[in-house]
Amino acid sequence: MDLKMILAGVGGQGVLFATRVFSETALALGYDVLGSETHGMSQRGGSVVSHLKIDGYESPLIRQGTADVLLSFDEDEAYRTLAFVRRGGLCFVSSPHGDFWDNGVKAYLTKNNIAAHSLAADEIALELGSPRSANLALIGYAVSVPEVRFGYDEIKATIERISPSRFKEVNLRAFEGGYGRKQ
Amino acid sequence: MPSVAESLAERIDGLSELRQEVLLGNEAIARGIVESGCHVVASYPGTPSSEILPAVVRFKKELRLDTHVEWSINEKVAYEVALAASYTGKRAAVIMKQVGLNVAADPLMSSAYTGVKGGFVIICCDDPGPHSSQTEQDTRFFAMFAKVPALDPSSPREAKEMVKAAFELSEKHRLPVILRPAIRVSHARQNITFAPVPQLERLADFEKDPGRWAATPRFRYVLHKELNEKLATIEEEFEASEFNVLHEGEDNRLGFIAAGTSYVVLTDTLRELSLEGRFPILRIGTPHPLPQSLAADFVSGCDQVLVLEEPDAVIELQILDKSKVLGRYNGVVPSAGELTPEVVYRILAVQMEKLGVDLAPGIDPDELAKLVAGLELPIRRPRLCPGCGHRAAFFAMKRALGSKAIYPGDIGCYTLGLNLKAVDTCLDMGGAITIASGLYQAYHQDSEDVPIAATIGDSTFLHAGVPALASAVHNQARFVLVILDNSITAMTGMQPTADSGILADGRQGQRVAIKDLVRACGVRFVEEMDPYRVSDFETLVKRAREHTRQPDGAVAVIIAKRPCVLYDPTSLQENPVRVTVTEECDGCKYCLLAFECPALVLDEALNRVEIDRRICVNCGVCIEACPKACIVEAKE
Repeated sequence: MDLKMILAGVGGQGVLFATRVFSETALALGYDVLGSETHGMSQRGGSVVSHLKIDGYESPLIRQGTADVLLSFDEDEAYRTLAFVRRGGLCFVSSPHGDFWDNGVKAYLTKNNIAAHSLAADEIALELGSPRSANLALIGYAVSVPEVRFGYDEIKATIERISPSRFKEVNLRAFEGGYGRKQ
Repeated sequence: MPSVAESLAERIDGLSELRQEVLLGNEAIARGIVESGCHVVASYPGTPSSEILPAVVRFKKELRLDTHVEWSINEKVAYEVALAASYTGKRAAVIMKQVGLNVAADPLMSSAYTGVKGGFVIICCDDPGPHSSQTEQDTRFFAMFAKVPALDPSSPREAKEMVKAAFELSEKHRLPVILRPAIRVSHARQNITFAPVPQLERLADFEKDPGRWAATPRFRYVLHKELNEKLATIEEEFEASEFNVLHEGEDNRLGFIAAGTSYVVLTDTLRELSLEGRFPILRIGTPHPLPQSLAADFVSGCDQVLVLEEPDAVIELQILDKSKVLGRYNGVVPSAGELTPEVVYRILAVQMEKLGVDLAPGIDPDELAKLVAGLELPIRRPRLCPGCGHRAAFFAMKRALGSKAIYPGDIGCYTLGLNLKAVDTCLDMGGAITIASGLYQAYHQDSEDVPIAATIGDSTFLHAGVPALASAVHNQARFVLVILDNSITAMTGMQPTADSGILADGRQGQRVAIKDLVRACGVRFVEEMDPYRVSDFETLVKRAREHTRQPDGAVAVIIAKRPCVLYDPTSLQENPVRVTVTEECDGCKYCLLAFECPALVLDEALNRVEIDRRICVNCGVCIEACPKACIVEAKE
């Protein structure tokens, strides 16, 4: 599969769980997975960045300018981690403001052929009465884009398998909610 | 009834057969510990090592092993408990973060001389960066200092194998062995294949040998010579170790010696730059003692050799002929901070330019960095959680004693009292109490009476605070000590403390009460209060301060009792206090700065503070945080 992904957000937004959804899916598909997580002090509301490399890597870290996909659960964290994305890469940002990008950065995205998507994931999750499931909504949206080489069924199966039982239902609905917003 | 052998075979069969899981590096290390048949595992939590012992507990429960696991009260204690098990012939492991080994340095140095009997492995996790530590110290230097071998894994998978190799090595040479995973191994995730877990039948058998286990200085000289011989033998073995790998290259103008995370960052980066296989690489998995022939042969075959290792220059230091070496000592590699892929790329780019090797142009990170810097994004510093009892305690302390008081702090979540200007120092575990004592003595010498209010967490107090407090009382120091008791070791992921009485595997053990310890240290002023009662707590702090000023006064201790909201939110769920901000709020930001609850946010458009309902836990403490009484309990 050969995929490098950055997942970013703030402590408490479920960055680590989102990373697990992708890594467990990749493993189920028979690929080697390797990644790196933030623990400790930063989990108290600081920036959390997780690196995920699928198939054929030795180091758990992704170098700036080489990630295929960025998933950010926060606008500011998207700005902070955008440098990881490669030319022609993809990014997905949870934002209530649609095309929120600053003009200078927007020109950078265009110049480097980076496709930037945003989704009001918090709204979808709030409508479901589960604000903490916003991460699943953004995952659903990302999976609906064909360049992200994970299938709907595979990811859904993982969410079903690894969600704590009391969140399973709402996680799946948030995932489907995000998936349904595909363009 | 199945025989023991049958049930064992069944157990192994059921759990091992090519089973794979995506594990955290620390969980893979735990798996390595149980796959080594280890009998006793002791630890004190600390990032990045904290997840190892809980994972041992997980495997112990799954496999119904009778492994003894314990959270010891500090690293020195953990070290010695595990060491003693090794004296009896059992396998033992001790786990800590790098600065924990400072605390356990005493037994490390001594046990290198005495040696061990059963395999004894020290798992000590380094934190280049640092991400969650007070130093970037390199544990491999401790290995050199103590003259014990060190293994340095590059990945979770390898860390698991190295645990097993470390036990074998330790048992063969009767020497403590250090496994040094750095944070990018401990907190990496990788798919790991489970191997069978053996049952090593070893009954405790302590053979008396005073010349070794109780050696006096005369015997220590003999033991030191023995240690030197062991180390020389191990170095010879390391010459052929499977953990040291030579990759040939076609261009010998530059060679690389790389270890740990730096090795894998190097190989991934070279591959991305289409330079895989071009330069020779010597990968070192046994950084101490460095296999000298292997290193010297490699160096002699290259024009220059770039050494990449973290966090310090341990391999580089041991290379005897430095005339060809590029590294930290000549500034080619930076001497502080993590060797991230970006740093390694920059080092490579400089060398490639010198060699006339063109690199494919990538995206320019500086261009974006400038654009993003121009946005002036708010700094996202770590903060105490909404509802955290520490915030309430700090706020009341500041109100009672003001900003002229000196606030020595300690290591834990509550170091974040820094943001509230209620932490002025943070040195090491237990440092709040000793620094308070020293500050008192320094001012007292000048007949100055400066208010001093120290804060320390419950787990940290038990770790290193008790001797500090006894010494302070004995030497007649006077200050206020607030023990922030949230009934758990929160920062490192909710490990139980001795005060709770709960053991590492969840069973109930004997409780050691903090209050009793404080009294036993000779403190006469000991009060307990929930810091959510901000005004009462403020009065109590003032009373404590008064006690320190009385003719017969001394150290005054307040135990601020409020369970960590992440660990035990029940009282908030049972008695929620829903707050709202009135229209009179004029956006003065006092609450944002002095109280700093993440759930209080300024609505810039309205210039008024609002409650972020998504994260508010309804503790109601912020009602106290508005001097203009604009934060009020919401009417239903």
